[in-house]
Amino acid sequence: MNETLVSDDQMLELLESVWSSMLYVPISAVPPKGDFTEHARLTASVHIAGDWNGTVLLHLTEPFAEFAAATMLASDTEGLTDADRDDAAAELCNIIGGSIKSLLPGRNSLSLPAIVKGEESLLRVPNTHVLATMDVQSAGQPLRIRILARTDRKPAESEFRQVASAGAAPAGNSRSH
Amino acid sequence: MSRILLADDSGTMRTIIRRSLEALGVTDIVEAADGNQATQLFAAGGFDAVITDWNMPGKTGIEVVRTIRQTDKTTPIVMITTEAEKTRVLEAIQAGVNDYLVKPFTTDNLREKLGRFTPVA
Amino acid sequence: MTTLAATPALDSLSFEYVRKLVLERSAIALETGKGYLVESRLMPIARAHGHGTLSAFIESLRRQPHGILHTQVVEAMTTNETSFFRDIHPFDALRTIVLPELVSARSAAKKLNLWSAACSTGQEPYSIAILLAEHFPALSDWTVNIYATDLSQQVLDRAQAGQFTQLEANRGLPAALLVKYFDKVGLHWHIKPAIKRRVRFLQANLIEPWPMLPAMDVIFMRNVLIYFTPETKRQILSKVRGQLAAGGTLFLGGAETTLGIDDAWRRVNHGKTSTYRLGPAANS
Repeated sequence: MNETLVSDDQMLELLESVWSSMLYVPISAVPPKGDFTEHARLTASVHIAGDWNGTVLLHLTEPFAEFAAATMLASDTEGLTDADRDDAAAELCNIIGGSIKSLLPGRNSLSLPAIVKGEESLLRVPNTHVLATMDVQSAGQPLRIRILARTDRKPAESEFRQVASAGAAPAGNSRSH
Repeated sequence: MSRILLADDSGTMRTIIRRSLEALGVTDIVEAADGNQATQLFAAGGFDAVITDWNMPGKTGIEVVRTIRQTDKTTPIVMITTEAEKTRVLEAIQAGVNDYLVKPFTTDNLREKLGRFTPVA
Repeated sequence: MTTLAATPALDSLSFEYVRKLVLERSAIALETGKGYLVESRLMPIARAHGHGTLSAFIESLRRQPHGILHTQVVEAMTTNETSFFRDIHPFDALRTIVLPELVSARSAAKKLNLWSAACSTGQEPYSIAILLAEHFPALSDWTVNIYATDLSQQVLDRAQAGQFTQLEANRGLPAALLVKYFDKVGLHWHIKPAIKRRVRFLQANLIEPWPMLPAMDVIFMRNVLIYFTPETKRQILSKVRGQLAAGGTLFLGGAETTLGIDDAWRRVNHGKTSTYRLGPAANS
């Protein structure tokens, strides 16, 4: 990760504080086994705009989104709707994004969160590059957090595919720094 | 028994806060899903305290606080938000909040914050 | 893949089981209405042992003979999570009664010594320092020493650093005091040097010989006696008597008392909290 803005330690610390107080399960910085894109079906995003511009993405699996929603809503999984799962993922991303924003230079504001889901969906964020990627695991599920920064350089967009089958194209066409 | 106005655009967050409040013995909770709804509900009167998010569609939480404070200087307002910068906390205090809680938070945090203004378990 | 399950709210039977277990094993009474504490403290243990819900975990506790797991549960429920202005009422008593009395009693010497005798990560002595700065500006030309001791050097190092996570800052600190006495550095809130300078941290084990300390006008020794046997409590309270200045005040934890242990102390009620003093009552 980019040491000057958000260090790995800071990223893990902010994730741990969210997990310990809202989800009651540990989270560890262990890369997921195999290709992450096998698992990801859901991406939550928030945009940061102001003196610093970019996007925070939280990629997660459906079982994890369901677990998070059930825990946050204190509900049985059977009682959950799609909207509950999406909203829980969005809120997690919103809180993570808020903490990340507090580490960035200058005065910035946070957008309302958004969700992309589905097996063949494509998320394209124009004029950005991947500043940082962190892979974590929690409750036996892989998660990935990405910070995209606005850039004037090429390639001029970050692109992430959520795919159905194993061994599919790697997610993202951007360089990691 | 306290009657509380709870404004947050996230249904999940409203449920989390509602559960926390219920665990603290506060059951009379009126929910608003955006800032405009929050100020309209507040104008109808009868609230002992307000809990509001910052980032919401329509009016932001800060605008909600400013609107409330134009006519009401005393009803306690606690902002619960992901906005974690010191400048934001100062901005909220200047707008007229009584206290400020950064997400993520625990029920214990909410009990301490709200307990300063309204009876809780 | 791990089975993931929900966290339904705690039912009253489960709460009652935990309440009884904690009471029997630690003599600490969980108030009803503290179900949320059971949930936040025990969910991590339940998850670690493969239980998706708290009720299922407590049901399994109920069915097995008392063992390590029950001890873990009692420890999780009784471990003190320190916070700023913890329990608030003792600090109200300090601000409205104890300090005003001391300020007039010590106005010639212009000197005060206060001791936080189990300071953990520093929230208690820093709360005292903030309270003094906020409400007793007239003491700025006094010599005010705040001593803070703890058993663990590791914990003292954290206290000395004066850096708190957002979750720690959320606990007990009103926002107005947070922005006034702390600066945000990265994810952490750092206590301002002017407050930090007022606290002296020392390592001390209460059941061993104490370091050289001056006679104290105020001693905070909260939520530490509960961990000792009655005999050790008596010994510590007797040493506290020797450490307290004439006219000084002792603060104990909400579940602690000198009554029936060391009857040299006089309990003074202040509404929702009590303090302990030596010698005859002042004319009332």
